[in-house]
Amino acid sequence: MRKVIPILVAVLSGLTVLADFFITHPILDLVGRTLLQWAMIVAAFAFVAGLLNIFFTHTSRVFHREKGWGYSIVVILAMWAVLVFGFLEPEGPHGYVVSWIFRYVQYPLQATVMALLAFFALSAGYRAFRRRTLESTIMLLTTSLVLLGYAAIMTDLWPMSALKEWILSVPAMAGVRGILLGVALGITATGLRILIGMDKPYSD
Amino acid sequence: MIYCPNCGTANREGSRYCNQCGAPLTPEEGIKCQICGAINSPENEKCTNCGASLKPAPSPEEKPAEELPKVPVFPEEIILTLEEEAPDFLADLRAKAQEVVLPEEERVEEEAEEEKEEEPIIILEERYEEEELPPTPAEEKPTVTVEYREEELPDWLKEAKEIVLPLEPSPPADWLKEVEIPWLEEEIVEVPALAEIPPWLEALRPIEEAPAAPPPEEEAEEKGVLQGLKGLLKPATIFEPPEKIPLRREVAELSLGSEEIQKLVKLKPAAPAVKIKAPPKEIRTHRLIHFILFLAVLIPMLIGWPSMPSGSPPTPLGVEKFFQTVEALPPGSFVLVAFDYEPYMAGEMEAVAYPVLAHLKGKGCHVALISLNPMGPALAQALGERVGLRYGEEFINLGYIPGVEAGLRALGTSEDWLVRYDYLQGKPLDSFPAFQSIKGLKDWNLIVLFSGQSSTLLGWIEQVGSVIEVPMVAGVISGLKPYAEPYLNSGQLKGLLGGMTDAAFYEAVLGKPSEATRAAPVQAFALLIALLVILAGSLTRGGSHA
Repeated sequence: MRKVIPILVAVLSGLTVLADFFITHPILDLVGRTLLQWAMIVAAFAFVAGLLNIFFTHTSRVFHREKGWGYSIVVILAMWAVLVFGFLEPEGPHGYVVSWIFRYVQYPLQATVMALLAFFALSAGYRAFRRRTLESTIMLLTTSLVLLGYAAIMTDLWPMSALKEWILSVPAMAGVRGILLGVALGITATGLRILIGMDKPYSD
Repeated sequence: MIYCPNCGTANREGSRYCNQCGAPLTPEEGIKCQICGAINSPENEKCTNCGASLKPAPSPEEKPAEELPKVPVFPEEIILTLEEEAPDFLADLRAKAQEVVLPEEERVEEEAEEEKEEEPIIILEERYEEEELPPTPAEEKPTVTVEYREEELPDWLKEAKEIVLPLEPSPPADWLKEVEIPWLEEEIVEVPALAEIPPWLEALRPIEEAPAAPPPEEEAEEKGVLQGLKGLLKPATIFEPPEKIPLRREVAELSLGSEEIQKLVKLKPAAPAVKIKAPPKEIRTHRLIHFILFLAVLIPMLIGWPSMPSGSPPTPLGVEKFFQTVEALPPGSFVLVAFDYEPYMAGEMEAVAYPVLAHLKGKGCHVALISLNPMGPALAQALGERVGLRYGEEFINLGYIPGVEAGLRALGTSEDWLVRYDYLQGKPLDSFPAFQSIKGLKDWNLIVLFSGQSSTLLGWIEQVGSVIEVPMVAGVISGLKPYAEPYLNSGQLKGLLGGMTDAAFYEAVLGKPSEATRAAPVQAFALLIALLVILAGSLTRGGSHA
């Protein structure tokens, strides 16, 4: 019974929302909209679950003195600082302290980590792009032309960017369309498997 | 890497649950590794954590004789000699060494002895009695005597008390007689007498402790009223000179035999002195690459070079369409702007969004900011204020909508406007006169998407664009542009800005150069340097493997 009830709830909910796509009926529309709003509320509560998970995970690491437990203390303190100030300040998350933390701590830290990616990507490009085979040579040539096109469009050599535009508009877009079609088929297949109860991501 | 058995996603070593689907990566019921304790799948033969074999080790009785650990065993005579002639401390050392090195052998021997006591088995001792036999004449052949000690023998065997087997060694071949084996003669090494103890071993001899002195006889009191009595408590001692600590014997030859000592007591040899080595060539190369890229970004930013081209490069089609769509809006139009990106993408995305918001402000539009990302409202608010939009009149912040696809679907199908309060002040939307006419999603004149992820971009196009007729335009990071262009070609997007370069073109078309105009040439210069580095790596390394 513990397995049957979740499957029934998932299948009925999914079929109702799916039917709402194709059938226009006042009752069906109402039920479908209600289920969607429930899904939004559940998704919002997932943040609360994530918050508790982070807190208990890092607290356990501190108590057991696991490797890197000092960083866990920083995580817990930062989490509580933002939470407490967010509740204490009358403006809530737009208060001075929380906004300051977001603008001058979280924002630059995330941007810094992202900026490091450029250095690692270039190192990887230096090592990876080698003309071992015909395919790798074609890839090296294409990469060079696209990069050159991006660089040239901002200079007086902009006519050279026409080739880059062609590469992106014809072969690259053909590949992307293939990927998108494959993703759509995969989503359809996964949705059908969930609707008929073959896949149970909600209970696994 | 650990691959999820459910979805196949590669997870980090040591992960217990899949990062993608949350499925447990270690089966709860499985084989527990005897070495590290990790739980393995029942079909595993080796531990996925430490690589140890998961097959249960056979007991010593099950192990064939050849699989037992081969340990050096002294002949019985030598052991006897050691025990008889060697000092006691050497016997102790040998016993400890055997305890450490040969626990398996000892266990096997003990169990064998126990079995021997419990179930006597037939043992036929075969000995080549070369010494005990009387001297045989030259023509007499050597014999092998087989003795038995058990009565449970077959009848035919009981009758035979001594079986004499002729042992006739075959004469060596003629060619073998002529062959000289020099190494065989050189291998014969004189073994020192067991009683001789080398100096390094002598250094291990413990200092003999003086025999414990017998308890002093209780002295009788010599004076006072207690004179003549014994067994009285002594007066407390306030100060007592320290006892003389015996010093360990210094042996000059100790260093000479250090290796032998370490082998004997199974100590780890001292770690060699750590030498600071120069980083390998590969690491130096990568550091050089990072430094070149750093300079390629820093120097152009400082000196303001290069700048936008002096010619007239053609404006990309998506930029041109985007600009025309915004330009076609009548003054006072309502525009919904979605900020669906994380702070780490803000460097590029704010450069894309800034000229668009400036354009909307110039057109006198009423702008509402919304996000599918919890951090989006804060980013949107900051950018709106930076552009100079007046809150409540020119723009409002509608906050965050959870649920991505579900939220978008609910947003698109609601009869009334799903968001009823603004995010910044918590006021009902009816309290903002400029936005009182908005009753649902269909009331907006344009939807502008600023997306850093394909899921949010496709969510808006599929869940909202399929149910309403409001035109959509999108500004995305440059890496997402190939994924958005098919929707531009299909007409589902009326315009597209892809990254810093397109934003610079938009500013050029708008006639208001700003952040993108300054940053795009620098980015292009850095890309040119990156191209040169990649080509250098390809040409210098060729087809060689790393």
